[in-house]
Amino acid sequence: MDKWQRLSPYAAIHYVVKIFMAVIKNAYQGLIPLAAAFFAAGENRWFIIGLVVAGALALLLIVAVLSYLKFQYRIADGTVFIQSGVLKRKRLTLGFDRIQNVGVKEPIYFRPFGLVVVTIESAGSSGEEISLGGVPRSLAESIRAEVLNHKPQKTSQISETIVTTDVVTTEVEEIIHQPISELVRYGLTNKNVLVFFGIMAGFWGQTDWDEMDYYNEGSEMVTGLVGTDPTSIAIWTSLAVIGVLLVLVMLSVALTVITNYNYRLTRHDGRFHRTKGLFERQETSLLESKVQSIQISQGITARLLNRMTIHLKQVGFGGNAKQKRASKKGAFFIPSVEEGFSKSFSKIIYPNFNWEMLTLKSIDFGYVRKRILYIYLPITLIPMSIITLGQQNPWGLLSLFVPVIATPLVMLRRARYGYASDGEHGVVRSGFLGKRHVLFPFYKVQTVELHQSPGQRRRKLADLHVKLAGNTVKIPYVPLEDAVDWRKTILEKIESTNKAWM
Amino acid sequence: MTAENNNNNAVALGNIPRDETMDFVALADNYAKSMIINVSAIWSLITIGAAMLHYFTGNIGNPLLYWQVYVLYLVPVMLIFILAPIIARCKGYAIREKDIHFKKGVVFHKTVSLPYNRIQHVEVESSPLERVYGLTTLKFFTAGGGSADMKIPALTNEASTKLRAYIIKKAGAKDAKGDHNG
Repeated sequence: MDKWQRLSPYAAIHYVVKIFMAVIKNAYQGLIPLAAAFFAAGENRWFIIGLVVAGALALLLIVAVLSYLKFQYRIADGTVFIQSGVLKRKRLTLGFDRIQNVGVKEPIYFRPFGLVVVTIESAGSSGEEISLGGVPRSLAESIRAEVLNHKPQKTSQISETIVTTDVVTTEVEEIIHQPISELVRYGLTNKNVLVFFGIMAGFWGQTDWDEMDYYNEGSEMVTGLVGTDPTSIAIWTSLAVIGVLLVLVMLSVALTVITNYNYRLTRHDGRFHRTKGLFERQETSLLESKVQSIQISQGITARLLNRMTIHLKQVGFGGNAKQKRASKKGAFFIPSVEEGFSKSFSKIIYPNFNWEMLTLKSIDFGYVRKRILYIYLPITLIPMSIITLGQQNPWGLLSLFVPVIATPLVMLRRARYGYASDGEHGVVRSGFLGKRHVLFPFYKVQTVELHQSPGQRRRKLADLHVKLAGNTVKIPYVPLEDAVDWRKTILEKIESTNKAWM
Repeated sequence: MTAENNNNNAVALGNIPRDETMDFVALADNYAKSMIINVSAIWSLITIGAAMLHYFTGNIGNPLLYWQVYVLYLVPVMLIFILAPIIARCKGYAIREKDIHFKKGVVFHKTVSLPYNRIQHVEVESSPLERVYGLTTLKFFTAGGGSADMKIPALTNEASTKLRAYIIKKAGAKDAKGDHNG
């Protein structure tokens, strides 16, 4: 493996798919003028469209083949080297000890050739992700074994012994295997539906409906079917809207089931191993010690179905939105679990933690007072004074409803907040209609911040921000005593342990 | 002025306080002064720009209005003379055996606490103006998150060199190899 190597020539297929998906994802608005041109082209529309498609395909093929030719990798001395880029050459060097995760994906178009995609995620401020699309399965396994078994030079002396004792005792232990019924539940509760709405709205906003002939034709067709009676139009319109919504929900569920099909989580050698996906089997493993915190969340629809989602937060989110999205994509989560499972699972990761021993404390009522006084009162008074007093228009009084609606919601939000600690771990609950518990061991914390406004100083309160390597946990309006106590305990835990946290 | 300040830092570095308390050390004395000069320079640039615009386009409307506008420009400059020392006084850092703390904020107080064994790397920075005053900014980074987790402005060159060496020693050899995107 010491020499520079190319991917399998079939990797060009991978590039075709990748570029095609990227175009669809990022430039679908650009395709709308094309569609418009198609409708405006008149008689030789098929010729023109054929020409455009053929040109695009040729370009796609050329770029894909060039990408394949220009991509080279080398794995040597505990380091991964990559050279890539058609127009802009890019070189990347990544040491094994910076690698967070090695995943193996098996897309449907690679299955006949026995090839897989290896994704390598790194940690740290520059959160790079490498993907080797098109390597033989055996090579992928050996890369993964080599990277994951690589021992960092120091500090791991202690953890190494722990790991080796684990190796002796544990066998492959199945933690959860989700049937389709659970995945359907997950599909109903996750946010894919909203994403669909977003895309639809995007299409709607981008299209100039009046300029399109087929729109008029379509509306004539509809009035032909339904008649011009306003009530029947109204009924049919609402039925159509409900129909579209149902279709969207079903699409969302179908998509969720496809991407998470046959979800299986196992544990072996102090490592979690997850496989999922119908068309593209994804295999990801995660070293248990790399979990920074676990997040158990339950949206409003999930509450109705009595299910939760567990996220295992890792190091490696970068500062910018693109990296955040990337880390979201590779997020390690367990869909649709019951409360009992979430508790027993926390026990697997944090054996010393006991949910039953904890009662969450609520935050101060000052949280509600501040929101109402400094946010909702101005929202109420300013429009009211301008519209009602300034323009003598009584409709301005409507804004009096703002605090009436907002107050119970703010109180609900305050009631959701809760925090507790057993001296080793912290639990923070937050949410609004849904709820979320974040559970983390104190020794994995990076920094602690205390924020105080003048009002909080008077009432001996503070906002506590606990920064972990994967996310920041914020508890607003806690008694200063508790905040200082948390800070003290957290700092003590960090400073008294030399357990590897990353 | 600088001598006195160095002395102050040296004491703080020399005898490390007990773990329970945080004894905050003030930033360099000329921090407020450098802030005033910085803000004044920016405002004078804006004022000169506006005056040039006024001169070349001719004054349309009431000239008295323009004159008042120029007086308005002076308000923030005068304000900074009052505010800068207060802002500077509210900032400070505390060094303990195993962690470092930084506080700031005139109205909204904020204290950041950072244990040495979580520091990934340290950056030393000084802007041209800071260099005139012999000041540097120290930035501390932990894992995850792009921006600095703690930023201590206005340390004298000597204090920052000492502090950096002390913290790197405490944080272990992690810093020595530098960072990949440094």
